[in-house]
Amino acid sequence: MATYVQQILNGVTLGSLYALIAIGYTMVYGILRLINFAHGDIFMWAGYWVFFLVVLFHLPWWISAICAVVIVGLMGVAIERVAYRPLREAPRISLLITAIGVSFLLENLIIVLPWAGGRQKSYPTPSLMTQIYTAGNVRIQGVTIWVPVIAAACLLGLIFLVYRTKVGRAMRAIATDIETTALMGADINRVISYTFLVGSALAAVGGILWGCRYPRLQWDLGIMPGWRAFTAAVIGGIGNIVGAMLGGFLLGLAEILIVAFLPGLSGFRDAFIFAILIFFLLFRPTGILGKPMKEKV
Amino acid sequence: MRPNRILTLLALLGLAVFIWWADANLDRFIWRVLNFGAIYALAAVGYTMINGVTGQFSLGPHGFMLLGGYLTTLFMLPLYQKKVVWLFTPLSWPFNQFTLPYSGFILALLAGGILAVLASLVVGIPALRALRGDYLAIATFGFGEILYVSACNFMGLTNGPMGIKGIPQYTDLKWSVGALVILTYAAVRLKNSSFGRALRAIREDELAAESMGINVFRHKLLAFMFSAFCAGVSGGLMATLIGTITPDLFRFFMTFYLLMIIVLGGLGSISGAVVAGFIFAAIFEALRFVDTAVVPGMRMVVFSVLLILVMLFFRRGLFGREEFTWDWIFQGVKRAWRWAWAKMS
Amino acid sequence: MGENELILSLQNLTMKFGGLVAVRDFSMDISYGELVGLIGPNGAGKTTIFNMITGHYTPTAGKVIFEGRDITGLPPWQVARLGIARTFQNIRLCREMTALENVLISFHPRVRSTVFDAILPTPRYLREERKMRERGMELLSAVGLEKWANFRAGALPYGLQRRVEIARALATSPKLLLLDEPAAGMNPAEAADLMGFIRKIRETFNLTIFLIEHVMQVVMGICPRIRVIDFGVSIAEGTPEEIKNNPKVIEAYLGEEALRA
Repeated sequence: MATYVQQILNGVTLGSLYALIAIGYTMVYGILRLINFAHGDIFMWAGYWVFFLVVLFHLPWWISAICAVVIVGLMGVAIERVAYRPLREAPRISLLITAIGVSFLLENLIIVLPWAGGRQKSYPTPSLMTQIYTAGNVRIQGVTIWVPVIAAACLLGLIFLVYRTKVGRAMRAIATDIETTALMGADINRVISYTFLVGSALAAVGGILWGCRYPRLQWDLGIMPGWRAFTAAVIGGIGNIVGAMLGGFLLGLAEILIVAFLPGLSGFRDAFIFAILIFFLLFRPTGILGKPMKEKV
Repeated sequence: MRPNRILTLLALLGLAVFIWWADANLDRFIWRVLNFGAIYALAAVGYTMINGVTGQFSLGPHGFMLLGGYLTTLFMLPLYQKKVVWLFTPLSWPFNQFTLPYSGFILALLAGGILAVLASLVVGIPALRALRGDYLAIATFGFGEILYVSACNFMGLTNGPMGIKGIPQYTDLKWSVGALVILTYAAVRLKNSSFGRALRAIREDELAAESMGINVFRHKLLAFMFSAFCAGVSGGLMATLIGTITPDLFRFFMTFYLLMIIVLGGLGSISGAVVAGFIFAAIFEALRFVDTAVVPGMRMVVFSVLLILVMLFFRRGLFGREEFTWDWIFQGVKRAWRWAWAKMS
Repeated sequence: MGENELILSLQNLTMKFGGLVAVRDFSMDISYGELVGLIGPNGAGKTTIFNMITGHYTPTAGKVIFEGRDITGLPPWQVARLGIARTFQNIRLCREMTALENVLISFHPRVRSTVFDAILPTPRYLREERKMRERGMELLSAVGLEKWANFRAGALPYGLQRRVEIARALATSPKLLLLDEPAAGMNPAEAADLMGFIRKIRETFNLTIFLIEHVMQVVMGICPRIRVIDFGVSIAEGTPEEIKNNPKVIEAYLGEEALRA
């Protein structure tokens, strides 16, 4: 019994992390129809920024965390501005190739940076997260409690942003029809920058919390969680924010439970993720919550 | 015979002589770079056929190269080496029963290519029918990753992450450039044929192509199979060039290299892919000093920046969608002559 | 001529997109050699009907019978090979390819050489390629475009692009030609040219032509029979005179440009 509870809590934690990353994917896809390959690497950079600020500049953890969120958010904006915006009129394949280039660049910059390098680094985790609480037979780390709480707070904030503010409305409008929205006078560039800011910031929160749960930093840290989050976004319905959250939780739970109760298959974990992704793309591309779209001839 | 064709035949003859000499006498370092160039160019030729000519964005050639590499290895690895390498899990049947001598090398390469083609059917038939654009890219990428994970786990076949050592290094310029020449010839002829026109029509406007009676799915699949074959053979050549193989050799960065090559050469230009393949291999080696003298990993940073810059400012690549013709050289020479003449008067 | 007099029979075609009913219970028969027009206000469902005929959409209900054969739901490439060709509302040419290459594309399905013939190449392949180019040039001449054969299709002026598209459609050796707003964007002089052109190709190539059009000058001028639809439903059919004076038709177009000959 205790194991079940423990694993479910782990699943919720993992799911929250995936949800935070998945939202960035889905928001960018909704607006630009671009699968931002570099998104998972942004997530990884957040962890490294905390590491730099804490270990090199000796800032307190909380301040480092907040700074990291802001910095990574701005990184997302910069990437869009430099690499994606010039190609907005270009064929979509060009954009995807560029995103791949940005992804590789982010990964290899970490390897090249003298304070990071190719080897693993140890992530600074605040005691709040590592503290262990016991309730009966269940032992959980503080992080297992805090991650869902912080994630929930972020998600509520996001829903408020998207559904109750002018910027959010513009985001939704652009996601529906970018040309008409531009004709209506919306400043497309600004809204797109906002989208990247918010999406990257959320991924940063995810990255910072991820480090608390799995405190090993490495340059390829963001790759597989990034793909899991993307799969989650597809499962939930790409372009749909609530869908991304839903998909994130489902995937996180499924992953923990399967690994816990079917350990023999854990070597194929990554393969399963892609198999699920391909399955959804082929048979249910609009995901659980999405709406089918038809091309006009 | 037309002058162009005479020139091409002369060039091929010259190339054959060069290869015959180079295999025996050329400085080994440059020889190795040329081999890599030919191998990358070969994979790029197939890759530009599906991505460039047909416009179907696949991100999975690294998986097909992996398949070709491993199957060729399993065919060619000597039996005693097989016992040595597969320590923990014994090599599974039938590969533990036989090995091919040098005379069987072409068979091993072809087998690798055919295995890649079969795999391309597995992912291609569902994916090319239902998916386009980004989604097709993701599905092919996912398939490549599934192949990688499988290679890491099926120890009885691949020896997992530890890889395989002691592969006989049969690849030399006559094999790599030979395969390149044959498949490039096939690719160019295909592109210039009615079949190639259909592929280009699919790239431009799939809907219109279908309205003219073209079975779009079948054509996409054939192009995809061709690209898989090229990748499989190039993987086999790579394994027998390096002498060792691990799953990590064929991770996504391999597709990234191929992407760079075909973009640099011009998306849809076969000759562009060939030229860019060699250029890439040369730059790759030239930048090795950056990794050793400056910082490890800097080379990849340079490549990433290069790709982004090419996409932003030089998207057409070297040859655009066109193929190299001797006329280009003639025009170039004429223009240079006229310029020099004008300068002198 | 087939065994029936009818080349095309549309039976109770209905097309629903989710909750939206684009076409409802549309039936129509077309005989061999006819030149029939389909008109209606924007969004009436005309192109949707074409798409159901060519297989781009599968009708939610109803049947498409071509030359006595049920072709409902067949994929577009099969429909094309059976003898139905079409043009598109917004010209869908392969802009990067030459006019001649665009026409040659349509010959591809009939090519008997395999990829291996192309690679070697075999004499059979070379012969076929040569014949295709000759026939392609013939077709371009028939539409008056032989001078532009090797021009990039995207570089041609709009009116010529339309003709290339039609030549490409003709290259599939169709029995039925569907023209989707061929006169779009033309001035009255060009439209008059087009009318003569359509009449000529119908004779030269022995075609049945079914045409969607907004430019009344063209439709009224060349179609002896016209069907009118609005909101996906047939509202009238008859000769141009009958249609012009039909109160239901006038009502459907009220607020848009008046019917003018």
